[in-house]
Amino acid sequence: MPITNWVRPRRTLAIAALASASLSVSLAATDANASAKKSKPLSGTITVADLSSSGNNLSPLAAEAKAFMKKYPKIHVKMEEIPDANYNAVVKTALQGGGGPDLYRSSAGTGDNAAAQAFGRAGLAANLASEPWVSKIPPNAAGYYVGKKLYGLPMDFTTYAYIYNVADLQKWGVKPPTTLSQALAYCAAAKSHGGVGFAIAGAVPANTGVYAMLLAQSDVYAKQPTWDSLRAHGKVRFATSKGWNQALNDFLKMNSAGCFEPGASGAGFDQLTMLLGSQQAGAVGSPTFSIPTIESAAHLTLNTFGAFGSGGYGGVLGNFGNGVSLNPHTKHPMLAQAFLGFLAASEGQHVFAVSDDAPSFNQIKGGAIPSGLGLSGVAKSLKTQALAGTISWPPASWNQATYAALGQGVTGLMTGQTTVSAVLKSMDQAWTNNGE
Amino acid sequence: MPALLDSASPVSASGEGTRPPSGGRVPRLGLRRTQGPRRVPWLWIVPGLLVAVAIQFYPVISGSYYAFTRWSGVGPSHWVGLHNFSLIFSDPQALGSLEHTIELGFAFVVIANVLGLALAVGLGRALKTRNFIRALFFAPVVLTPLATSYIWAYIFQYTGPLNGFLSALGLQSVEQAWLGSPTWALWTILVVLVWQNTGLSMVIYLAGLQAIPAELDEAAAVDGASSWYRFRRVTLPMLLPAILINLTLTMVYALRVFDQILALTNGGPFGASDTLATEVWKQTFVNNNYGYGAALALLLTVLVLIIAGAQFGFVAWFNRRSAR
Repeated sequence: MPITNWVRPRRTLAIAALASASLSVSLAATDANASAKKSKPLSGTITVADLSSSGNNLSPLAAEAKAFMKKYPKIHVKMEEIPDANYNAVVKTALQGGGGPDLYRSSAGTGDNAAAQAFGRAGLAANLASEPWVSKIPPNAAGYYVGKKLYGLPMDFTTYAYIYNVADLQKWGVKPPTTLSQALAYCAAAKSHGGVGFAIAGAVPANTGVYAMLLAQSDVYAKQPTWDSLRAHGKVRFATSKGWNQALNDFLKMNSAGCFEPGASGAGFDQLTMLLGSQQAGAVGSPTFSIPTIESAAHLTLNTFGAFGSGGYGGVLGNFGNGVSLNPHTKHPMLAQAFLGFLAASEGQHVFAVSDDAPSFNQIKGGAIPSGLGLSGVAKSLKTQALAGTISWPPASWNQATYAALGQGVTGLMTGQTTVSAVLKSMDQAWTNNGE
Repeated sequence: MPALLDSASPVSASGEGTRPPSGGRVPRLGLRRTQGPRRVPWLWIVPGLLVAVAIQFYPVISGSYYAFTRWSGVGPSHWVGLHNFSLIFSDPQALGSLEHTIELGFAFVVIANVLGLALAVGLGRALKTRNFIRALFFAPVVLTPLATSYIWAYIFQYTGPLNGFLSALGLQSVEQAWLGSPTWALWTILVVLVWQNTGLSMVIYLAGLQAIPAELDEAAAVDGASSWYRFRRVTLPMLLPAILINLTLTMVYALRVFDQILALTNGGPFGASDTLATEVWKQTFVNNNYGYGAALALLLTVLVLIIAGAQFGFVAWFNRRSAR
């Protein structure tokens, strides 16, 4: 037998043995890896973007991060706080560049900072519809859905109403108004005592817009909660809407009656809080999350009353203003999803609500709004509207330009630079020209 | 001493050596005769030019593309041609912002330059405290525009110190919501711009004045010319370079002012103090209307180029006229 013939079988056997041994080792390694993965706790760092907090207070997501890291010490949450004015641009640019934070604060609808629907359609927010906690999301979180896709976890509920100084109204001998005529009488009473009924930041379209929306709540949305859906389908228009015309005319009546402070057209937020804090102004139309801060800073007792107008009492406005969305290109999906799971759980929801000075939706529906948030005056309306599913903040589903046209238009009405019909026409134009 | 490179040099234009003339002068090989101006060393400026193109010109050109699109800042853009420009010229708000840009621009240029020149002439004299006063007038230039605007916003508040001062003088009828008045909002911004930037004009004019030979003015004075005549016929013509620098700088600055408007009035009330710069920001970053905002930005760029071009054209014409 030639040597080669004798060697070949041995070489073949050796190679086979080596291959078999390698396979065994790799299988064993795979098994070891699998079991190691199962038992190894998550660790690493994720980045979360949030709005800058004011003063020494932690932002709500920073408070969440602190609580989360206490529970999961191996996961580090790095906060990136960005000023409100730049937040949308900074987050959008980072996400479009393929980078960006793993998670970021988002808002409902299409119109606000990091709007979940807009970002979701553009591929800048991950679809969370298959997450295990989805069943816990309240039904009023439509602003985070596009069809069946969910582009954010809604966290808190922002209420829009009139914040008032309890002591001022008692001093002036008036009760919170529920109709336009009561509001005008309230303004007259305030004026007779050297005060002013309402403080408005005329130079800030976001604030003038709130006043217009509260009047529209009475004149438009209380009677027709689906008005925005009709507008989206082109069945109604701002310019030809009786309710919208009435709402802005109601504002003109308030302006003529001296309901607002002198120089209101040029006032900013600083003057607004100064007037309320120094008890010169009885009330302010605003989101209500600032109540605990103003109360503690100015040593006041504040409460809230709902929308009034020619249409009568209109209840309140509100929406899931703040949520958290996931970067679809995150490099740490498991860590990010762990954080989202924490946020969605009761503990996470509670931490956010406490830190954000806002009630959770379950507290609203259950009529168990914590004291100290100044919402006792509107708790009943909140509960009724929440259970009926009629509570909303319409601008969340508008484009930014339409709400800007409303806010600027209201300032123009105060100074006499424009008319009600011109403001409503400009809103229709902005709706059409800037639609998605 | 014979020149190294003269007509008798044995070195030819090609640099090759030739037979030395019978005078026995040693040729210096490799030397070229220079004739006319030196050639621009293009290789040296290409890197800098590439950086300038990449950082300045390319973003402007690519940004200008979006002026012809409809784009919300996310997702793809859609080509719409000149639609954004036709919207600008049919939108009263945009036309108003263009009008305010030109009004604010020209008013600022005139006032800042007149005041700057007056200060420079006044402080060019032999005053003991002139250096301190010059520093005082120049100090606002180095302050942050945004911070000073917030301070001015407090001053101009309805319940602020200005109205308080007017009230103390018995002028309650003059009290205004200065920042909230459609009539006064834009001119309030002008006051802040002039306050902050006149010092810079003054410094440039001071430098220009110091470059004028004193003998010229003295000679005119000896000949019996009045102060005003000497200023008009001697100082001003000699100051022309400084005037043109100031005109260009102040005009370009005024056309693109943004911080002060945002801090003082936010462009209000109802657009009464909006300029093209603030309108660009609002349309782009507030309304998410990037295409329209880019169109406004392109319009502003063209406006600045036209005005700057007109100024340089005037300079060239004036120089040619003076040379005749």
